[in-house]
Amino acid sequence: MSSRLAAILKGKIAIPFFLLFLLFCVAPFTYGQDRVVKGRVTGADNLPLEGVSVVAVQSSKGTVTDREGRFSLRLPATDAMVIFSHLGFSSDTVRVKDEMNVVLSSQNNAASQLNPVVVVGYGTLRKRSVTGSVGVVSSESMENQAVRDVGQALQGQIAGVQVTQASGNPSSSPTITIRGLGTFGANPNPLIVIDGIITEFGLQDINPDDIDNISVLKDASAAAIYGSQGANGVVLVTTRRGRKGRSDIDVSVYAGQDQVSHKIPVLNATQFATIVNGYYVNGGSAAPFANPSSYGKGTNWQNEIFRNAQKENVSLAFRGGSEKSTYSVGLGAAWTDGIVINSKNTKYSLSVNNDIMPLKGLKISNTFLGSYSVEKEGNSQMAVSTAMQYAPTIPAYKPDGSFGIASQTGEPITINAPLVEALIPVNSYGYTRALDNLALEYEILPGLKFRTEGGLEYYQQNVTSFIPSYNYGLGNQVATASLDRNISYAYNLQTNDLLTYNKVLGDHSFDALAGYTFQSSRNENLEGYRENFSRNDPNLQVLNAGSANDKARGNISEWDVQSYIGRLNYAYKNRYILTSTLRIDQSSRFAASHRTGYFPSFSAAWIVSDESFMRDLRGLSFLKIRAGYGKLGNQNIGTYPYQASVSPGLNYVFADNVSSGYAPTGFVNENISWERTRTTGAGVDANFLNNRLRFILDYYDRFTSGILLQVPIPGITGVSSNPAYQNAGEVTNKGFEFTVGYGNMGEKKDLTYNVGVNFTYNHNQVTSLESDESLIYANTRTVKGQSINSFYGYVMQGIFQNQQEISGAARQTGAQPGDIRFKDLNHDGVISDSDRTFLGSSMPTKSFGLNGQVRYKDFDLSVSAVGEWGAWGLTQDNGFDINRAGEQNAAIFLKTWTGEGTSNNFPRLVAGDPNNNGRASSFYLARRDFFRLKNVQLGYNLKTRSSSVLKRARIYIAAQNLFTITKWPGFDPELSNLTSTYPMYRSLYAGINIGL
Amino acid sequence: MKKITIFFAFLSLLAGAGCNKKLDQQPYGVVPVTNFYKTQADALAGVTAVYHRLQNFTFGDVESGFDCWPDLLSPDVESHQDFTALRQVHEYDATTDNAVVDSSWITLYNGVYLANQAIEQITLMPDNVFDAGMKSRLLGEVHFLRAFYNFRITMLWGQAPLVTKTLDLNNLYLAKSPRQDFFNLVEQDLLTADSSLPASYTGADVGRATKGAADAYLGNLYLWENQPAKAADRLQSVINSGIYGLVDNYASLFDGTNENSKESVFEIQFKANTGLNVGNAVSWLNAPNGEGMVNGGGWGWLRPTADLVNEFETSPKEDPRLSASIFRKGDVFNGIVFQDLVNGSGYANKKYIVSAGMEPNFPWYASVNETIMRYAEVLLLYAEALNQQGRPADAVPYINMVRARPSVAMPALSTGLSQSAVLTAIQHERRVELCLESKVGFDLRRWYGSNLGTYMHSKGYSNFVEGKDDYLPIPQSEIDKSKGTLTPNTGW
Repeated sequence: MSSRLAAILKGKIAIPFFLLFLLFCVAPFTYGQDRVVKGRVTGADNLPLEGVSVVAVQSSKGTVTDREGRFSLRLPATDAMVIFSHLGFSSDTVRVKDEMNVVLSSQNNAASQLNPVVVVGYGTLRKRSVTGSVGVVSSESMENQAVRDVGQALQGQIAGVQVTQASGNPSSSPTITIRGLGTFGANPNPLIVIDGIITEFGLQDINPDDIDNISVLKDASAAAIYGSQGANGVVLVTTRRGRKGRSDIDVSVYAGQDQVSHKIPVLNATQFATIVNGYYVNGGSAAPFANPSSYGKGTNWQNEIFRNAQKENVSLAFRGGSEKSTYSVGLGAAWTDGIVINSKNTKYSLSVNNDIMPLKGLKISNTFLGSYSVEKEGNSQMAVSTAMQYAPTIPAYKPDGSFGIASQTGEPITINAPLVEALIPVNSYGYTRALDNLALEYEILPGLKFRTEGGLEYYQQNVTSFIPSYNYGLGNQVATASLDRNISYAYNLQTNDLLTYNKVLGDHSFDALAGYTFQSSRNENLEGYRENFSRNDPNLQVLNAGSANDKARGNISEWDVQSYIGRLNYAYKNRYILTSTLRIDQSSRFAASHRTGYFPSFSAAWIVSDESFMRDLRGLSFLKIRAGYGKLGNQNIGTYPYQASVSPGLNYVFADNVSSGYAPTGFVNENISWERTRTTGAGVDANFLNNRLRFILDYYDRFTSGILLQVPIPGITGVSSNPAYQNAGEVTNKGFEFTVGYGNMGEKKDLTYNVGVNFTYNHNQVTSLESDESLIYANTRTVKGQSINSFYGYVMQGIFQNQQEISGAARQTGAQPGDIRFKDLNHDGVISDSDRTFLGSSMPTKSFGLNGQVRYKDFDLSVSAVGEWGAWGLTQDNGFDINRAGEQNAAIFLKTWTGEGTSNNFPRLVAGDPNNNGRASSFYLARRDFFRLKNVQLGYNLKTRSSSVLKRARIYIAAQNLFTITKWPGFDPELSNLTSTYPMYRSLYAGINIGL
Repeated sequence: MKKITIFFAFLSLLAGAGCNKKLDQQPYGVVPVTNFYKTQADALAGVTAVYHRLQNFTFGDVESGFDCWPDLLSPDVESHQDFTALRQVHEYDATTDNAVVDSSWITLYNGVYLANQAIEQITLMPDNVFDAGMKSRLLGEVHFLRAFYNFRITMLWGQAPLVTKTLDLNNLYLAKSPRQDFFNLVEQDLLTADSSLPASYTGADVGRATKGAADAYLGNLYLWENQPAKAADRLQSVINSGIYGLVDNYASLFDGTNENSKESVFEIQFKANTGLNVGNAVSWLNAPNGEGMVNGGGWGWLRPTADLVNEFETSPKEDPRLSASIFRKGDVFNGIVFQDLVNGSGYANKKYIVSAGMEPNFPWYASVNETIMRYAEVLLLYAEALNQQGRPADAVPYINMVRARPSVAMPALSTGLSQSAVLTAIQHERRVELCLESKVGFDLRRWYGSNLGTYMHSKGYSNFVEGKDDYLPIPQSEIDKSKGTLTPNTGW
């Protein structure tokens, strides 16, 4: 025993625990001998911090600091350690002294994130007490990335959170998927909550500089408090607020240049003309290009429509507060030119957060976030996809300066030239967004608080599309100009009434919440259209200037949800923690008899490292084991799917007058109810080497049943294009999440660093579809036993090189040498529909994120990278389509089979495709796996004198999407389509952050 | 403090008040089914919905007026080389996943559904909400339309599920019925229509189904059923009605200048410039590809073949119907010379192609109607019915009536021709008179029956398999969805 004790004593790390152990052992004998500890808590700038939570580890007794940062706490003598924690600061565990002066450092790294306060649904919890799986991203990590959109800041940061940038358009917002796709019926997006208000409009246009932190509730035990809206996880965004006794001005500016991250290799004009000639000749027609070599290199249309685009971003914030009030005002402006010519996004944002404490115990808070953004462009996406189709034999511009236009057989004379698409249409997409939340919070009795808040969100989308009249040549003619104006606006109103109570009774601490919430959402749309504008003048692009073919459209939809919520968090000795939540939801989307849903959760955590038997484990600093179970729902399926109705619009003409036709356009199912998701999960948080080495491991089993699904019904019903919703399917997502971090950041050294890697494995499988019904689409199927939207089709088995090979193979109608040989899977000697099989998943199974920061004296460097594996994508898109080989220009066509032995992976090109080479098959699939260096930022912190007005100044240079390693043939493996899309950008920029 | 507590209690009550009621939401923009089918206006709107499907029973919900199969299943018309789904059907190397075949199945059965819905609901409505005779007329119209859709289904697929009432979620599957069951229901429906429809309409009702239309389609059906005497009866009653005649100017039947004319027995109605999606898209879909003859440039989806062009008589003069129906290289239309830039057959479809000049305000859609049962066809069907009864001499005058149209004026045929010579003459006359009007593919199947393969092979369609390619494939996706109740067509 004594030698062992000596060994422990040698390990400095274990000393605090040893002391704790000693105290624990003597506790029974010293019980009742209380002492009073006092102290003061300040930030690194020596300014007092108010509201810092001060909690004794052992007894859980606690208090908060006053406005001078002072506290006083009566503790049993058994208490040896006190934890100081404050939102936005690193927590600190300090040994008890009579007079404790504690300096908390601003939270900027994971090393000291052991006990930050974490935002959970309808409240906050100390990270230590969190029993569910919650991931957090701090504002610091966002600053290190200078992202356009808040969603991008999440990419690669948290295991199990997949962020996909589906478009490189400056106005686009990425999609977020948490722990795999949980549904194939209702909306699969996570719930987004901004400062306690559920938003229906995502994270678009929220200024990243206004964000303090983001919590992601990944499992049901964390998210169940959001019940019917939390099945796909919850993203909680907390904006910045002012702090008492402070007055800060933050300025952040950056400017840079974007360019397309990848250009697809294309055919030159000579190659194009040669290949098109072959396509026509194989189809039995004459060769359209007499002398292909005369065209030389020709035009690479991507060079014509992409550019180096400028961007500038300015953010200004004033934050501070006095004893009775705090304020925060944030102003943001961003001007981003798109990488496609003639596209530009302008964005302005304003945030105003005020807190007033007029009376003791009463706090009134207002949160306002407003933004306006406008995207102006031609048809950027069409310009990109036609750039993959337009013939390189055509010059971009004719000698007289007019657009080069297809003029002969073999050139795509029916489609618009890429430059016409990019430059001529006048499109503007304006988004106005405002969110205001007024909250009153009153402490009725010590520990008993009542909070009531009302939130109103307004969102408007304002679209102008003007197509001028023009005539540039074949396929590029519009006789009469037209204008479409489309305005959609939505109101989202919420009230929350919350009663919270926390109480510490000896070793027992309770944290309880009960509440009522109501949410009402209304969407309206108004569209006007007119044609025949006599001129294309910008000032005449209003409806009044048109003269023909008026069209007006408009509709309204409304839905409401009413909920009762409750949560009980109980801790014994602050190391055995139980949490239970319940939400009861009632939604207008379901019939009264199926309207109410109950969503409970139970979870527990055990902080093992606090146990006496763990004390002698050398090197271990912290160990927590978590497990949880919860039920969640999803009601996001449009507004009134259960109601039978008769729809207008089935019109006809009698005697040259339009007559309105009405009919029910689908079957209805009054019995539909919530999708239900049940999650079981367990996790371990373990820190070693004085918290330098940190592990988080989670396992989850997420099971969704009663998936709200438009189960395809036979065409003979007559309504198969609008099938009824049914609670029909079941899906499981099972996976592991593993996060490891190592670093010493936060320590007072010249060289500090922090490296984090997270890895996610997710297995998605449909476990049941009602009556074995499959969701069958042209290229994909969702069936029992496979992952959602698995690719389905024939298996390509090379190319028939000659007639003998065809004769020797299974019978394949129409096959000629050069056509794709499909595999006879059932060995019946005929290639038929029964030779189709599952070809691959459309979703990744593995993903990883890497984040690293290094600081040396005044320099800092941060790097992040992401990767995904396991997904396949469809490559049948513009530029790659063998069925329209006369108007495709991807360089892949050089691999075309042109005679025996020339190719075994790309078929001959033949008009009419007699072998149906273009059928759904593995020929048209490619892996979407990728590794991407997402972000590199190198900063230098200027030395500032403490007396100077300038508190902080940092300059940096940075790059985004520096490179991507992938075999995907399209613009970018993350984008939704191969080429019919707005491509991703690579960005180089420099910026400065100043604190005054 | 107490005041503050009361204030909060009040505030929270306010927030929660009256919310339960809000959970019973009624949808906007639609009528609850329980409030509909109450008035005559409701019934009329329900019937209009059944007509709506006539504007597009082939392809998707957008491309109105496009009908491809009867012509593509013949040597007369081929598709654009890039429109693989159509091209494969025409070349008889299609597979069962053909997207357009799938779409036709869905749209035609939607027509049947809309008809069944209207029949069931209108039948349930009390008589006293209708004007005198209106209920039976409306039911007659719907029965006519159901017959039209069902006839088309059996023409395309032979055997298929026969849907006689609206299905529901508990009742989704039906096995195939033999063609004779389709014919029987079509006959029944047309007889119902025949006995309840007026001979003609005036004013706002022009364009609705008439007794003459029901008779003409009955005549066509009886020819399919090899009952020429019954066919002749029905067709004769159309001829004897005195309502119909041939218009002088053949070309005016297809360019929108002569709509709902005396030659029109049944006509699909279109109107552009309304913003209500009732325009005809065929102008731009079939006009020469990319040559700018019509707005949208023209997509050249269907184009006549040399074989069809060669069918036209050239002596003593070129049959004027050729230049009225088909563009040849060098033809000028609306100031634009047809060059056949996208290597097609060298020919292009002219029927229903109207120029920008004719529809000045609307960029793409046109108002041009499509007359799908013309009096000229009634005359030729009648001639066929007579000839089939062994009365070739009686048949010839009706062929000659068609040939004698002033703008056509082709020489008369001799009344001394043999029965088989008259059949050949009728076949020729139908092929040129009704070319590009979605007739010939079905005609060939009626005339050649099980010898169609020999005919198609003689025209160079070597992939044609007798007994298989008489019909389109049952869509694979429908077989996959049918829980084994649907079986593939023979040979597919």
